[in-house]
Parts: sequence; C-alpha cells; structure tokens
Amino acid sequence: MLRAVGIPLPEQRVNEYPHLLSGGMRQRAMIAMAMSCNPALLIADEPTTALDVTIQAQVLELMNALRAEFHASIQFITHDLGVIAGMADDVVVMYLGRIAEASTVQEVFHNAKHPYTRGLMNSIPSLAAEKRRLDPIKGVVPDPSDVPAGCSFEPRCPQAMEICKTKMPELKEVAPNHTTACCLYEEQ
Amino acid sequence: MHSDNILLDVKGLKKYFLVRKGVFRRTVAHVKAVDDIDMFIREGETLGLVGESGCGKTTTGRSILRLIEPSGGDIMFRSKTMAPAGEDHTEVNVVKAPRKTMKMLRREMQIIFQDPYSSLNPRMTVGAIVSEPLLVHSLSRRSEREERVKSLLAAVGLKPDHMKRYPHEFSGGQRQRIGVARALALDPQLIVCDEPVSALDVSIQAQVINLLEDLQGEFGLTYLFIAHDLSVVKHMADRVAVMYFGKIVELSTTEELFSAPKHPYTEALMSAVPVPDPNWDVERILLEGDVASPVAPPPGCYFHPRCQYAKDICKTEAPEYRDLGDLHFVTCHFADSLNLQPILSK
Repeated sequence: MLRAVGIPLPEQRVNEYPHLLSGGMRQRAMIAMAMSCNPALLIADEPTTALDVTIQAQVLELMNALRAEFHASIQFITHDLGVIAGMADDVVVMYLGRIAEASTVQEVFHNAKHPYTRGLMNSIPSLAAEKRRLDPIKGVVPDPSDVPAGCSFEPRCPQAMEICKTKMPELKEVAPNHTTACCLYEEQ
Repeated sequence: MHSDNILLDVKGLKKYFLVRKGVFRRTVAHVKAVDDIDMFIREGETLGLVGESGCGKTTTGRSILRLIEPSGGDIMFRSKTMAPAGEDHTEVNVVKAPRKTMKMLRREMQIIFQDPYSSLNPRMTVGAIVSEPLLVHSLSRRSEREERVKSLLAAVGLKPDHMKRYPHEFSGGQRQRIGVARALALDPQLIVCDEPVSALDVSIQAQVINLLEDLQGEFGLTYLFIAHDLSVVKHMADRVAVMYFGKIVELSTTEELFSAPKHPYTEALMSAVPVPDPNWDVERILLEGDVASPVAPPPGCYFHPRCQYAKDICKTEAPEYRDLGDLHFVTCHFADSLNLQPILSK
C-alpha cells in the first residue's frame, strides 16, 4: 500500500512513526490507510488544505491516479474553488447546512444560478484572470444558532426580493442535471 | 540605477538561527532562515513575497522591522521622523539603529499579522487596542485620542461604538480590520502585511483585500505583502519576489514574472496553483520530493534535487543572484537559456 501511494523506501518507512514523516508523506500514509480495504467511496475532508501548493499538486495527482486504479468514487470536501475545478466531475455548493446549488463542474463554474455561488466566484482572485476589483459577498455568515427566517442567504444576497424574507426556497431542477434552491427560480 | 523613490532597500539581509544541543548548549548547526537577500521597495508600491512554508518569508518581514534581530546585512529606510531640520527625509540603517532611533522608526513601519485571533489582546477593548500605539509614542492627548480612534475605525469600515467592545465579539474579518486600524494609527509609510488574509474565508478575504487596496490609495502606503497564495499576490502586488529556502530565487514585476518566468521553481509553483476554472489546462509540473532539511541544505543550488532542468554544475556551484536586465532578478545558472511555461491571462 505504501508503495502504491508513492512513499519512497516503503520497506523502511513502514516501521517508522508519523512524526518522522513530512506533511505530504503523512497525508499519503492516510490515503494508504483509507484505500487499504478497497472502498467504493472515499470521503476526503479538506485533504490538502494544510499542504503547500507543490505538495498539494502531488497529493491531488495521486488521488486521481488511485481513483482510476481502484475504481473508487471520491467525495471531496474543500473550501478551495481552484481544487474543485481541477478535481470534481459534479459539484454541490452548501450554505448554512443546506444545498444551495448542485450540478456538473462546468455548469457550476460557467453557468451558476444561485447568487451565493456567483458571489463566491466573484470573490476570488484567479491566476488565469486579468486583474479586476474583487466583488465580495457583503456581510458575514450568520451564527448557525440564529439562522435568518426565510432563505438563509437573504441578508447577504444582492438579488434578494420581498418573498425571500419569509419563504425558504426548495431545491429545484432549473436545467437538466442542475438544481438550485433560490426564489429567483420559483414559479409564482 | 534605481534610486528613484526607494523607501526601503534591503542589502544582504541574513538571519541564522542556531541549533543547540547537549548540556553545554553547543551550537551544532545553523539554520539559514534568511540567507543573503537583496530587494528594494519603492514608495507607494506593493512588493509581494511568496514561497512555501518555511522558506523564510515571515522571518524576512520581521527582520525588516527588527522584531527579530537580523544576523547581518543592511536595511536602509527613508525616514521622515529622523530627518534633520529643513529636510524631508533621511536614510537610516535600520539594522544599526540604536534603541531610541528604532522607536522613532517604528512609527513609520508597522505590521499586520496573519492570525487575527492571537494578535489582539483579549483583555483590551478595541478602543484600547487601536489607541495603544498613540499612547506608547505619546502622540496625542486623551481628548484627541478618542477622535483619532473613531476616524481610524471608520477608515477600516467599523463603527465608532465598536470601541467599547472586546475582540471576542468580532468575526475573523472584523478582527483583521481592527489589526489594520492599529497598524494605521501612527500614520506609517510602510506596512508589512504578513499573510493578512490567509486565515479568512474567501468572501471575507475579498473584503479585506479591497480594504487594503483602498487604504493604500488613501494614505499613500507602501506594502510588503507576504503570502503563500500566488493568486492573491498576483492580484495585490506590483512586483513579486519568490523565495525558496531562505533565498530570493526570482524578483520581477508581476506581469513579467507571470508571463515570462525565468526560474524553474517559479514555473513549478505557478503550475501547481489550482485555478478556479474547469477548462483551465496547464501542464502541471510535479516537483518531486519535499523541501530539503534546512539544517543540511544540499550543495550547489538548493533547488537542484527537485529541478527538472538541473545539470552537473547545479550540484556543485550555487548560482548568483543577478539582474537579467530591466530589474528582473533571478538565481539560476540557466535563466537565460531556459524556455519556461508562463501563466497567461485569458
């Protein structure tokens, strides 16, 4: 297993303790543990958030290779939109415990329907884009114990309507294979 | 050559940490956290400083303010407070400045820390935190002080009645704003921003980035912007310095660095950054292995064990930090001949 996840000198490493390994190597060891029983689903919770970018690139490459080799599915949980764009086939965007939008990676990045998804996209500087002023979502995420009535995104939403204050939108299909929970797309 | 409007000129800055062992605390090794770096910052510009963890970015920033004592080198700062009568400013060597001079210089050089949770004293009100620099430097009377704090809070987008609250009542983004207000209190020329947005969520990160940009325009600030996130640095900086293992491997204007990188590490670092676009198709250069141990650096060029272009000379001879022309500095034997992959904006 250690060899499969690309740890050098596995015969020697197998007898060593974790503190002797670097961050990237430890994450590889974790992946080896997770994959050892041939799972059908691997849930990866921010697996590369603590790593430097060059090491992150190594680990992501490894996960892609293992997914193909073991025919496993991966649920990849992360806050990094860049990583999602590179790794995912389908994307689910969550806000305050609910799904805001779900579709293919192409749809979510290039044809986002929910104002929260669009806000996220406008908040991040990208290496690939020309410099422009960032357009952040106003305000902060509310306290989870005091979620606003109606749509939970309403206080921060640039397109909020009167109805959003009272009505909690349902998750609805707005295009083939593309669902979102937003009153903008609810029929009257 | 480049004496126009240079606010800060760093020459041969070094910071070595000693590794001690045994009963007699014998020095067994040096860690060269910052190893002979040169750079300058012009007035009003933002110099980005990027690199992976442990490469010496933070040590560089703190050495410049002498929050850590440098082991060697000179830091020339164009000071206003130390200027003799009748002159606007004078050059002061920060490294050799005596205590009193240093205190004067600190008015002009401030820092914003990475962690907005540990950099604010939880027992002090926001008003006390922001006015502390004014008190330390006895710069204003009590009556004026309150007005000054109010105007500082307004400048960073907080309300006057926030003065009486404590840091725990604020979110991460708001706390970072308090840290910014504190740094602005003395009307500094230079602010070292040490990963100011790394601990924040993306939407809050964008708010703070916009705030820093606005304040730069409003107060004519000069930033040394330290970050590990290349996308943020590309957005903020006029020029960028890339550090690896305590050395600057490349320094150039932001545009030039991203469109025509000259150092293999810069190329690899840029290709590794995840881009938020599923159609983005860049050939990823996967660096092999980890950063070498700082106690036992490899001989020759520090980057050679991970460099795909390394030749024999790289294993034995350390390359010089040199100017390729147009103030594009690079530390690589083959900077002139390599044809590296740029990041092109669409």
